[in-house]
Amino acid sequence: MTSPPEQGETEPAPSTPRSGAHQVLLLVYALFTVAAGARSLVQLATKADEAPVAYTLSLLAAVTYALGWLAIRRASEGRTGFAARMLWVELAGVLAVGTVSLIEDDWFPDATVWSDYGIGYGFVPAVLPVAGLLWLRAQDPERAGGGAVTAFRVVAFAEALSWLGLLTGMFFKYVVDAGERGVQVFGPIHGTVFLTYLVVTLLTWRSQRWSLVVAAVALAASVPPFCTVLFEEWARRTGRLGGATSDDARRAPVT
Amino acid sequence: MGALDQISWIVVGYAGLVALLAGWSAYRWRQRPPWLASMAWMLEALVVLRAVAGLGVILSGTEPDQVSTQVGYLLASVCIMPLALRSVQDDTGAWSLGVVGVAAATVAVVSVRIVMTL
Repeated sequence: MTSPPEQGETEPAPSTPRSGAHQVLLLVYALFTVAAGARSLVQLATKADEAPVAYTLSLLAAVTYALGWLAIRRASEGRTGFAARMLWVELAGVLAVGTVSLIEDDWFPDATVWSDYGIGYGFVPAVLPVAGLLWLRAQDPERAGGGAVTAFRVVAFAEALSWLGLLTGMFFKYVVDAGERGVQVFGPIHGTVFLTYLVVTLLTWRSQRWSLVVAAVALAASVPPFCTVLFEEWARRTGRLGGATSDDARRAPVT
Repeated sequence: MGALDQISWIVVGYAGLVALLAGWSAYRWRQRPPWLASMAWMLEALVVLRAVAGLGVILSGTEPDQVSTQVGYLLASVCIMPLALRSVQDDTGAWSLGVVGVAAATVAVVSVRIVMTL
């Protein structure tokens, strides 16, 4: 006897997995489940009294990744309800733990998986739920195509904004000599947004069918300060951020 | 440990090459060429060699700083690529290249961590 689909979920598709971006997401979620799980279990078994909160949070991160894997797998079969909630929970966890670890570093004698937005794992923990949510959005035929463009515009602006924060922190550290707190806070934030920009740019490249040169310029724009905004403005003016692609148009219902 | 370091760095370089070729194949052909799986299995052979040599050193009495971490990395590095290839065994589409590329990059990262925890 099978249970009925949850509220807000679409009808289940055949269980045979389709080829798609979810394959990469599933691999990364599986890797992070094992990495975070093994790390936290060894830490809790060998030195739990040194940083119990941090190690428990790492174990919680491992459980989140396991549930995230399950959510992506269900979503790849057409049941998107669980993933729509789980990925937001994961993103909130990364942002909350990352922010607290930056503001109250005394609370964490040892790092967690999500400390400083996952700096110990190349900021992948912060990028992963964003990539998952973008993929999930692309599963909805009515919203596909526009999602990557909107995300690109938002992340391009956020990247420039994080540069502003980082440069301000560097000004207070090196010019005013007022401590390095600003750099400590905005460094990881900029790193996270930078990597998110790279991922979203690759998705937009595919979605908008940019040439290799345009994609290379878009990626290079992330290096100098504020150039992502300049590129976004240029791409918008020249019609390279046009929303739905020809594929999306073909999928749209004929009226 | 010197020989183990050398094998590990060879693994890092070769895994990076496999990841780059996966990315290039995705851009150029949007389909997984048959030779990429062969390269991935060659990488797996190197990783197995590295794991056997590493475990042999540990069993012979030369213990690294963190034995459990080292053993965990050695075992994990052996499992990554076969599981990744199995997950895309009937699929030669562009996204299967992403799976192979991510798996190869992960093997490279784990190999660097193996050197760091020696």
